[in-house]
Amino acid sequence: MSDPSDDQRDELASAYLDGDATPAERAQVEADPALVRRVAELGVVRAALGAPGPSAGAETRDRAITAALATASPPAATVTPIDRHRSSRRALVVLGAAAAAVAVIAAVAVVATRSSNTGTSTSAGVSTTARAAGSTASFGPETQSAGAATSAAPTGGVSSTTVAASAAGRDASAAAATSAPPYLGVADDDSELRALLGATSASAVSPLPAPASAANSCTVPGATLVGTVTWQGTLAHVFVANGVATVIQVSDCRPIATVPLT
Amino acid sequence: LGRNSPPTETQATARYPEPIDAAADAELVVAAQGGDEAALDALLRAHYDRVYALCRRITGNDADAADAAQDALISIVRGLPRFDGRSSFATWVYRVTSNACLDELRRRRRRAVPGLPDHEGSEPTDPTVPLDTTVTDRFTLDEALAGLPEDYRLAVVLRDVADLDYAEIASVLDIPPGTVRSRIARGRAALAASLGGNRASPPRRPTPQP
Repeated sequence: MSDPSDDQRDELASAYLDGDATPAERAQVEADPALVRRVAELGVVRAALGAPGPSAGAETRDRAITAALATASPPAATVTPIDRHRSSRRALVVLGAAAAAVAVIAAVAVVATRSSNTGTSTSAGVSTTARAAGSTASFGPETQSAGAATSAAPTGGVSSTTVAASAAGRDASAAAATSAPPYLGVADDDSELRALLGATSASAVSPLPAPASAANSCTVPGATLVGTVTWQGTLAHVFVANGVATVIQVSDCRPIATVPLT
Repeated sequence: LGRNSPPTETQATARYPEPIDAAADAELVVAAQGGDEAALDALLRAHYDRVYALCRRITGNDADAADAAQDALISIVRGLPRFDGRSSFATWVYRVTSNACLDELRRRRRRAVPGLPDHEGSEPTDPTVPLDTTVTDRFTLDEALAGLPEDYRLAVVLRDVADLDYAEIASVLDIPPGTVRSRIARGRAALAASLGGNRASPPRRPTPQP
């Protein structure tokens, strides 16, 4: 155990080093050769810590930034006078409804075609919302500005999953109200995921099905999107249904884990 | 990322992070809060090196630092709409980062396998080796930092790595400036003892200050 007076002298020397000593303290240090030596010793420690340490490589940095951008919420809508935008808003609603109808028809056609050819291919019960260009454009500025989450996902890769009919729920109001799911933290195994979900308050859990305003958001039929996690280094959505959490990779809506919650 | 695919390129180079430009930060923050994705990207890139450096010193290894830094960036993005500018953006970033690093340390403790040696509580190095020689060895420095109590480590790293002043550290850690001063002093003294055998004694926590 060090002498308490040593602690006081170290505090004096350390504060002197940082320029945080009072004039009286500075005079006290400068008049005491032992304290001056101590300032030098602590200065070596400070210099070592302040030296450039190992930095992350570009790949690590870019991955972290991409993951962070993918969790960005759409910005709050700009408040504008209603009369100035009423007509364009009405047009958006009409376009949105038309696009939703097209998406539903397309989804039904795809499902029917697949069912007749190879049977239903809902691997792991996961589906991806329609990504037709028309439906993307039809949701106007809100959807465009949700872009951080949108940009992280590839535009291809839909073919292996069944197109969901959930586009029917994508009316203009849903598109405007959608926000990114809460980020819950990092989980590398089942127990850590359970801990994260256990720590999620009931109010944080969306009472609604997975938001689907983003053109490439993932959905799991019948399951609730409870949040986003970093699962084994990969940004993923977590859906919960019937006591089971399904972890879906954000970038391509691929299921990467299922975790029983009980 | 991280534990599952260690970022081997991390060891490649060491460099000083770019100086903080508070005015540029403020402009980017406003733009990013308004939905400008390019501004948000630029903001994250401007601060990533410091965030990583802080996490690297606090967690003591590359993989955990990469995980914690990514988690910090995600928290920054999620919290940005609520950032009100009462502190500087950089100070807020350090607060978020410190919390992310502490979370990572907690996760690491949960993962720790009983019976295996941990990072914590490393032995002091050979007291006959000059301090200025041993401190150049980053593994020795990592071990010495790992031997510090977390509250000392955070204070010292925020001062000497992030270059925050005492008031800023007090704001980040939500403790009085006097406590910051004593934690930094005790942390540095413990590091000096650990690295060079000076007055080798286990670090003691400061007495609470009002």
